[in-house]
Amino acid sequence: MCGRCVIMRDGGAIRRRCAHYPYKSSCTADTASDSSHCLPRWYQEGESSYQPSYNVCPRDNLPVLLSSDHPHACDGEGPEDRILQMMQWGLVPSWHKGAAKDFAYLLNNCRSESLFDKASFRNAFTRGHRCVVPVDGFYEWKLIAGKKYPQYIQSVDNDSMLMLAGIFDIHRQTPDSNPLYTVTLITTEAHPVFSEVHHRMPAVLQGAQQVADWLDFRRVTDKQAYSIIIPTTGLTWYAVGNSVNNVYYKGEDCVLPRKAEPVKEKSKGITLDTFFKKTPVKRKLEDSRTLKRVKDESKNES
Amino acid sequence: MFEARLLNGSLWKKIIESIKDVVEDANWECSGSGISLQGMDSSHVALVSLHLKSDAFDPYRCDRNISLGLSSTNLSKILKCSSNDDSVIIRTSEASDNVSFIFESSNSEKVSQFDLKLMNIDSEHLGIPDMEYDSIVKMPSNEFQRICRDLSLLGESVQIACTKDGVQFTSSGSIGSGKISLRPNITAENLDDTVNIELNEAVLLTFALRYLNFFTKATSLAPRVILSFKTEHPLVVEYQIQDIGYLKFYLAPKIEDDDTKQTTTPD
Repeated sequence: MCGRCVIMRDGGAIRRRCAHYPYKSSCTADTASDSSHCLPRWYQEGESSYQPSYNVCPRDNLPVLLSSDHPHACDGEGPEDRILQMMQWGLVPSWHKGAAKDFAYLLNNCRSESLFDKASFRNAFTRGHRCVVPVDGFYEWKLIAGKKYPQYIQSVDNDSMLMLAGIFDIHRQTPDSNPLYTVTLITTEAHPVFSEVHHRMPAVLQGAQQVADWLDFRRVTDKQAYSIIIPTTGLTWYAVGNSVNNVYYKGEDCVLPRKAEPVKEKSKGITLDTFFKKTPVKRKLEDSRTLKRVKDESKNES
Repeated sequence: MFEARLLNGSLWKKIIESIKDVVEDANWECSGSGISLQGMDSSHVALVSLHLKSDAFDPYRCDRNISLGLSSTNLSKILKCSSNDDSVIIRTSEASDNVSFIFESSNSEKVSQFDLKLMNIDSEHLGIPDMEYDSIVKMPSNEFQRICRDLSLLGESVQIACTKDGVQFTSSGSIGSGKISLRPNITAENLDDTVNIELNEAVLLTFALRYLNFFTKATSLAPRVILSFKTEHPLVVEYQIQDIGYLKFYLAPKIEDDDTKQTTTPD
């Protein structure tokens, strides 16, 4: 599973990291550093509401990259073919009736195996609600000797962001109420290399083409898109301190390598059974019941 | 039929008082060679091994080997009914569920008999291998008792280091630390006051003071104590009971490990 992530760059940097080759003739490459790329546009007030965080948790809002061909994104504000939109982490399906906060499940992850099976995900996925969550890294808890230790996982290329495949949905409590955009991250079986950390991992899209295919819901079918979701490599990780365990703590030190803990010299008691061999000796007495009673009584007295 | 008479009955009292904190219930094994006892404390950290030769008793009669299951606490209660100069006769028969303790005053004017019910005690006999120890310290038993008592004011464990220069006892705790060093001393006027160290190899071992303080209750049994050390092996604390037997205590060492305590909140 993937339950915490890091998005530490500012809004402008995220835009630049999400630069892509335009496929709409209307999309111009005016602001991209590479003149052949174009940058996604922040949707509505997205950039102003975005806050970098070293500990993004489910129910937090995070920036999500999606095609501007989605009906809600066609607000006529710009010609770009992708937008960055703030969404709440944890899918609330559109079919849920009532307030979003009353939805009983926290769907921050979606198993790729159940994309077509579970109603919560199937509706969104088959309607093309595919999106990408650009993150600097994510946390996973590694089980070591019965205890969980947080690990920070990032791309082997330190400067690049991980493009995590997700699906989003739009929930309205009533037809007239404001829409709530929510997102869930798709997970796959862990790649053998990653399996030492955890048995599941988020679906990381590799390269611009995979991102483009995943986002282009008009051209790329569900099944084609589904085939992109495979366990991937290209990740590196290290143990971090326990501060990330606190969902309210968003500080920079969440990603700092775990300090070697002072070795406490602890005396371990060992028993004589380690040194001496046992030979059972049982004494049989004729009326053991009486004697046992005597023993019990004498214990009570003492 | 089993019968054993010990002229110096107070010896029984001292023995029982020495072992009762370590072994609650134990089988006293009586055979032609004498009376033996082996028992471990409930946590299996300490072991008592006692042997009293048949020569110590007069008369000593043991027709067949017999095992007497007795509670140390109850035995202590009974023996407290004897006077120090009483002789103590222990008597039982194979068919009996009881063992009799008969206390005779030195002038034979008073005879008391107490019968204790025998208990069925499951016990495991431990085979203690013979081994060559790295270091053997022979010292006055009251000095060892004093060291253990003093250091237990500071900490729960004592670190004992035997080197060619002597033996050093160290303990530390929240209030501070203490270090007591003894140098080999073979020139003391009284032979019982000497400190001898036979050193094959230097050792550094840690033991629980709680148990050592139990063991040193045997101080009154012998003027000397023999401490045998071997790296990562149990300590042997031995008291020779005159020339009639011995009382040995074995104590498992505390092994230092680097297990670190780490706390995390699960995901």
